[in-house]
Amino acid sequence: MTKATLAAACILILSFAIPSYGAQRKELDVPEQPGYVPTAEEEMLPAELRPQPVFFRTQEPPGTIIIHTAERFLYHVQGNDRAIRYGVGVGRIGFEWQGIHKISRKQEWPDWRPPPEMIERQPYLPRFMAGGPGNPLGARALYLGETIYRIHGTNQPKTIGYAMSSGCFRMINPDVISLYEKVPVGTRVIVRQTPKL
Amino acid sequence: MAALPGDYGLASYHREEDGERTLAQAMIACSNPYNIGAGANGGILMHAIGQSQPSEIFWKVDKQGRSYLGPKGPTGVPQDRLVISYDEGVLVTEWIDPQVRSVYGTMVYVPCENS
Repeated sequence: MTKATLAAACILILSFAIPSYGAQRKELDVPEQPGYVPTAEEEMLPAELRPQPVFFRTQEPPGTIIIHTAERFLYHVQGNDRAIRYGVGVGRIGFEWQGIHKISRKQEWPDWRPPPEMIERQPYLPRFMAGGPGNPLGARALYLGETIYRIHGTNQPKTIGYAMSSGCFRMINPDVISLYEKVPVGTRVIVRQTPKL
Repeated sequence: MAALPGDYGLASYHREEDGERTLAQAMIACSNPYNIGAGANGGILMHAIGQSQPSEIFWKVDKQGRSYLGPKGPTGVPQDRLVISYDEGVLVTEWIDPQVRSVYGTMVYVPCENS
């Protein structure tokens, strides 16, 4: 599988596990919706997933992005034990990862290339969809180092708070646009998982 | 209409300013081509949205001279694709169904060299 294919696979949706803050665990199947443009109402996330200032103890300098995959939260460190917290979608089981990278590139309205397995199931899919409203990668993308992973937008707000990607992190478009404007190339990004006993 | 069957690079766009680079990407997409087959009744075989198998569709022209690809019968039905252009083998279409069109945008089919 090529790097580009793997990158495209980041938005592949197979199944969903209820986020860690939820009391239940179940799975949902949601088909891909390339071209679908969500409404403003759909982008109104549950309160706990909306951007909000929170107490966040860390020794990382202000500006750092810390993603807690088990929590489905991305923290933008503000200093003085404060951070802005965003709800995100994360890698599904088997696609979790952790590490430290820097934002290597920023892209407005990134293009999308469906992975071959998706094209096999849906042969009529374009092999390339130019970025724009309705693109599964959403309004903005922040590339993490030289990896295949990105923090990107989505046209499926209902997937925020779930584990369903191949390792990328997704935010609703208004949130990723806001974050994009606050973080420059070179920003340190720390991806953490909560160890499972 | 010249013969359409063959392998095509397939790409799409929604914004007019993306048209040119989408055409270039469609050429690259020949690495994973979309096959337009020959139908048994003089039509061509293409997939409708949601179909895993292609079905036979036909080139149709309405009274205004607009061309469509779709099932036999009247033109401009939701199952049709409006042919925006067919020039030097490059086929550009849009679905008539507005909901489908909003999803897939303008579809660009570029013939692959080995086709």
